[in-house]
Amino acid sequence: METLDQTKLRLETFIANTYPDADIAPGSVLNEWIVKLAAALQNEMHNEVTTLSFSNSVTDVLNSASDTYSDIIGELASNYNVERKQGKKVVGQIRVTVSQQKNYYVPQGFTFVQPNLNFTYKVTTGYNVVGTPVNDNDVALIPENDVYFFVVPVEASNVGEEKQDFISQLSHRTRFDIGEGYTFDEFVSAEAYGSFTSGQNVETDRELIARFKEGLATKGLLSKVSIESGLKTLLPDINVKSVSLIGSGAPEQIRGKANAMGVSTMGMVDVYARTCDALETVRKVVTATKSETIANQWEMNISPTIAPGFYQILSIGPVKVPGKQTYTGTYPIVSMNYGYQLNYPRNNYISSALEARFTRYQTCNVTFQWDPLSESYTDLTKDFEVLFLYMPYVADIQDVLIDDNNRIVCADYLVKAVVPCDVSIRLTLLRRYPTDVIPVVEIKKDIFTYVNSLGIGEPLYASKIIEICHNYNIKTVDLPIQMVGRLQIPGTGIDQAMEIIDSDKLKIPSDADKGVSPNNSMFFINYIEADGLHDNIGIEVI
Amino acid sequence: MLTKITSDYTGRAKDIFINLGVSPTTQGKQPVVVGFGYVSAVCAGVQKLVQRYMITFLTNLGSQDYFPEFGTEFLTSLYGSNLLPQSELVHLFNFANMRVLSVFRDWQGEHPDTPKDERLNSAMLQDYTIGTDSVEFEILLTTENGDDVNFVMPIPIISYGNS
Repeated sequence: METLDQTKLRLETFIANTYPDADIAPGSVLNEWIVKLAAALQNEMHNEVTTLSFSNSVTDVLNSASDTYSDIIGELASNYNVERKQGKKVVGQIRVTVSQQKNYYVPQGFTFVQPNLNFTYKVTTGYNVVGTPVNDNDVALIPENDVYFFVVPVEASNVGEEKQDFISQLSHRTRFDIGEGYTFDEFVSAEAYGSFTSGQNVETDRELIARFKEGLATKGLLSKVSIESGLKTLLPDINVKSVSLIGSGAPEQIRGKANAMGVSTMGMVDVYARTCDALETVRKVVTATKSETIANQWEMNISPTIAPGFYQILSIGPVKVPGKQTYTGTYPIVSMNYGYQLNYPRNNYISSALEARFTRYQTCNVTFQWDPLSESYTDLTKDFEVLFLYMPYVADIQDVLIDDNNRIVCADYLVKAVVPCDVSIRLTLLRRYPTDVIPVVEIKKDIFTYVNSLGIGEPLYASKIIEICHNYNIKTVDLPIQMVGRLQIPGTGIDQAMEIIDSDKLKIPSDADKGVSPNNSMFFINYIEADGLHDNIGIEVI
Repeated sequence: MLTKITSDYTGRAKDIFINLGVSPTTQGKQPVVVGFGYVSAVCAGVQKLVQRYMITFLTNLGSQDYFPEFGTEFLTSLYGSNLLPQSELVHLFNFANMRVLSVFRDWQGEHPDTPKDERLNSAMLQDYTIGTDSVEFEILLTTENGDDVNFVMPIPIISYGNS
């Protein structure tokens, strides 16, 4: 909105530039009789138009095919006591392999680049790479076969587009190069060590507008909007992206049906939450016990607190010990049996392992094969490193919704990680001219953003992906587009998945028997597949 | 004292001329009466400065709805008093004059390229004459290039009917 003095100054400047012969000094007839009156009238009109443009801006933002970051929307947001979130950087670890055993120094600001995606990450403090770490800034140089490696923490750099910096989540073993302008003696290779955190994008106008109603919503945890709003207030450090409520009577609600009618009792609500763009992984050390009856078989019990609500166990391997060789891959998993444990001060109503899947009450008994003679190991118990695929903050959200200060007394809100459908896409783009350079990296980023921002229940449209591609200088998208979704079934045994394939509209199916539906499932997509070697968003340019 | 007159306004910013009856060629004080009527009458130089001074001086403070800070309290104070000693007239004038000088000097500071004969250096009340239907204030303006201009500003006396 413009003040009267600003309007007058604008008029005076206009007159001075277009008709400098007109004297508009204070006390002049032109100023007192014409300019001031015109300024007063124009100021009202200008502000009315600006007010109208606010609503147009909101409409334009909601209809825009791309993300926008308008100051006008930011000003509107302040009326609702809502501020635009400025995002959170991605952090992770990079494993650097070198050829010689000696001391190295990684200076602060040292940069790594993912060559395919052009994402850059930098070391935030200097590290001494030594054989035996002593100080806080020392990291261990670990021998592996004929080479050596060390691991340093990194965070996304602040150059380039904001999307790239903040949401550049990468998976384990994604390859890196050394950034331009930096050198490292005896460098062999670099790769992601574990998955990077998802980070947070700078909030777009559309996301900010969506929070207007949350800002006005009651915080009484009575509806989807109020719960999303309440969680963002009570857990400001957690980026709760989406929430879905499954109440009594919904086919997906399986709790409380152990009665003669087979109908879920009132008050049961499953809260499916999404707190990250792409699925995350975490490594934890768990103790296993050797089987007394079956040779080379080990058994471990994963308690609820290790990785609350985890989806899968991706691998089981030895704990990394400095100075010892490492192991890649996983020991063969023989069996998995999910269960549940109700040992919190206040627990939700859960009566079966299936009801507890993807919640903080979930436990798992895993048996796997490992030959202790390979390391001349004789003890009956041993620590192993387990890599979990999970949705973070499930337990934190459950703590909030079950807290006596927040909860609805007559409702049982059980928080579950949203059922994931991992998507991979293959498409072919045609150039207009043979010499055209297609920005494949940018297209991948846009597709990544589109898929990971789909809400609960929203299908994935090939037409939208085509529209994204046509934002760039291409001739055409070669049809059909291959879209494959791998929907994890919440079972109680070895992990199972349902594959959905479509070239037009990928939609989560409704299968109450398997516990999946568009109301509790969401699409996820990573840049790189879980093996760290293949693109999940495959784009061929011809 | 003005030593030269010109009607060549080349390169000068011009204002609409409303001080009817004022002739730059007449020596001595002249009464200024405002009004519209001259076709395409414009002014520049000292004439414009006098006009601007008058408009600023005689605009009641707060009378402009959107610019309440412009003007002086001279007329408001003059007409708002039932009984006013003559000596008070000088004080009223000086307070209002200070305000006008402040406005002009602020603007002149922001526009240093204005011609010096259009820049106000000082303004003083030389004399006043109380007539039957008006009070005439004789004012001396001095421009920044040293020119002195004498003019008389008649203020009508408003008479109230006897009850």
